[in-house]
Amino acid sequence: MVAYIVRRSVMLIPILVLISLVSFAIIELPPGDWVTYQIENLRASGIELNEDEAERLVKMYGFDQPAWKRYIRWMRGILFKFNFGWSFQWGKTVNELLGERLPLTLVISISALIVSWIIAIPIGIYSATHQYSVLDYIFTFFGFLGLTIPTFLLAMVLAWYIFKLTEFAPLGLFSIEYMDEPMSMEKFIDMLKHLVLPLIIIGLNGTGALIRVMRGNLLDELKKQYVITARAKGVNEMQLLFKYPVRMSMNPVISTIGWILPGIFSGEVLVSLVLGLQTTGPLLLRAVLAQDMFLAGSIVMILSVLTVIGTLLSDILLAALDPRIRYSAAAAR
Amino acid sequence: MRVRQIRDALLKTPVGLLGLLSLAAQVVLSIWVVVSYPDDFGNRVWSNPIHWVDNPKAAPPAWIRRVDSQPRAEHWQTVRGEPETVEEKGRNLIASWNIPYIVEEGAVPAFLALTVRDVRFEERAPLLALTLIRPDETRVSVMRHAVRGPREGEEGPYERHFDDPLRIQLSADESTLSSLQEFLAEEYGLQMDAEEIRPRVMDILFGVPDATDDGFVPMAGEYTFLFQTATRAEDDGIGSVELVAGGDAFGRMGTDSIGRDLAQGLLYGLPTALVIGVVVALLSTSIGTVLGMASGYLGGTADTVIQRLSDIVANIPVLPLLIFLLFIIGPNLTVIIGILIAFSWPGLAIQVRVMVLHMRSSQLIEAVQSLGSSRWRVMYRHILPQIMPYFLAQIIFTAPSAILAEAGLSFLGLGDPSIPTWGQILEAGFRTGGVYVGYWWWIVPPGLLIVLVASTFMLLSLAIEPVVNPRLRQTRRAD
Repeated sequence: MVAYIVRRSVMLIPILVLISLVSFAIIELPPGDWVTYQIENLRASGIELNEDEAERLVKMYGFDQPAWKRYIRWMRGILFKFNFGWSFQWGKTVNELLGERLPLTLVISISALIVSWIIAIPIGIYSATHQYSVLDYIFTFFGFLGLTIPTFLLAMVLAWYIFKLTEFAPLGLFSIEYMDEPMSMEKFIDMLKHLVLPLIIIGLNGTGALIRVMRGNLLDELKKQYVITARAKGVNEMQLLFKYPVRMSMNPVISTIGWILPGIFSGEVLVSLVLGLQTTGPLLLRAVLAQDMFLAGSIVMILSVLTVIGTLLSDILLAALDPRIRYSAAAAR
Repeated sequence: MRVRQIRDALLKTPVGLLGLLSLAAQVVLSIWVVVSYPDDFGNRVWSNPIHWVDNPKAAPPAWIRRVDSQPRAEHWQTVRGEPETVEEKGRNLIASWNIPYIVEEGAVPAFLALTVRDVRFEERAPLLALTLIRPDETRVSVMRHAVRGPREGEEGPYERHFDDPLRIQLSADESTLSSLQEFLAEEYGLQMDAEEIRPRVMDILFGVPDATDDGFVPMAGEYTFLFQTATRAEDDGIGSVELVAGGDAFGRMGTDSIGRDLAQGLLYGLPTALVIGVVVALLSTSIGTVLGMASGYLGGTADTVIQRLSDIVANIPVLPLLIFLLFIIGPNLTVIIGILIAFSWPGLAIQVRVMVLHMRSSQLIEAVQSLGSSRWRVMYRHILPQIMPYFLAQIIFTAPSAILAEAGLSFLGLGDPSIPTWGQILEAGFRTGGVYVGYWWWIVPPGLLIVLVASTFMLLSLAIEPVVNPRLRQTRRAD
């Protein structure tokens, strides 16, 4: 098992290097850099910078050096000093900004994933064991409906409806009266109330697809010979169901962690924008629009790395739950 | 043959038939839109505020008046060309247009605007006048205007307002204020100064003073706008006159905050959505299938490269990257479609690879290989037909997600401004705070249309699901 984990982790290294290169390319891609953008801004507002001043700025931010030197400088900062660079737009370090935003993003993404599992797995099991029943059709209908409704639309309509119905505005993370208060029990409850809607919306986003996967897998499993044998032997139907077929059909669901995470990050951008949540999504959008490239590149890199780690975790979890994968991995070596 | 099963599933099940009918209706409507709309609809019409200047801003659809009981004036607009009567009066020719306008109980229009186009004269500039004849036979002189006379060095005949129509916002015009002041003094003995009148021009024009206080009670009934021109020469005159009474309700779908007719934008969004869905689905599925087949059948280096590539592409958070690329390359629908294609193939490539791996070891393929078929022939003639059903199913399944992805991008403000889409309409509604003010006609229809088109494809995919193994369609990693 340890060998398996080590081997999988080593395989990640080239992917991580590639991700860092792509992220840096993103920093470099836009025409012009932050300094020229700023100089133009100053010029537009009537302040003329003299040549020396402009050159000093360019030097200070290192824009006079070739790209590969800047890449090494950036990567060295991240690897050895854990320093992602400077956000021009906010006048803060990227670390500081991400320190504020990333925890919330992670909390929302991971809880949304759990929400979608809690909803999807039981429904998937029910739909498979009661195939073509009325409830199965209803779940199928709602699952498909969920796949066709854009998350931001759902967020807008629900936020408006909740506001209209209860006078409670599910926007931001805290209500106005708690905004400047120190953390207290009331403030915490208020925060939880604000988190319910985004969690449900982001969670439901992946639920439709997950129900289909779970249902399809379990249907396949239930047709297998060992299930018939167990039934013939008189094994209790519930025990039988949860001991083998459900466990088997969970495998692909667990491996969905890897590819559902990028999806949740993507969906999260829109929902956070609509509901005014201070996550990395809106931060990234603003950073891109203002050419705040170190911030933007860092966010893309961190999100990509987290996704890769998510995939790794799901593979390890899979190996832990299903011995056959461990064996086949060992055999392949 | 599985492809035939798919056809049967679509034609012989109610769900499939419903999906097909809905798709067919959308395609027919799209063709009509493409044929009847101008090519540069986005730039010249939709994104051009001047085009919508006469429309009421953020007005609900006209049919709302039948649903709620609030009095609302429907938006009213009329264009007249030739005058109805021309009579000689002294040295002048007076041309008159009588334009009837009905005010319903309590429904006073929000504004009044007059537009005159194509004025032509030989020597003396024509005089224009608008009089409102009210149901109680009182007459209000709303406006008098002299068209600008000859400039120094200019030779007759003169032409005015051919390219820039003369547009007078009567409800805010200074000359209207002073003539209303006169009218109130003469007719009712009321003395009001211009600043008192300014916010109430429409109430005064379409109402009578209330005896108890200094308010005005709307007067319902048949009004007539009498528009007259006084000209000298036989050939002098105007091309057309247009009157607009801004309502609180507009057309079939209402308007947004700059007065755009939402019905037009919503219709235009249909072909766009279908094209995005079909093109992205077709191309990304083709790429995924071809790469999956190559990866599975050729094996070796090709397999490793393709698998690593799809691993990377599948692990990139797509939306942040899309935001980037669009910002750098510029919001352009072709670019959006290209990016969506570039990022939606890996899932299918992995699935197809697994299927091809199974097939490669089958007896059929072994037999064909031993007969000496080339690798291309095996892939094209023997593997591709077996994958075809999944290919078709995947196209149908990818289309709605492409439509939703484009809507999401437009919602972030990264849509192509020259091609209006439903996502852009939603974005405008959200950005201007339309949601929280309750402009439902601005948010609900585009949202529902997205859901409608997406669910059409979902119905089709629901219908063919029993034919195509669901597991192969939706798991991305089948290891």
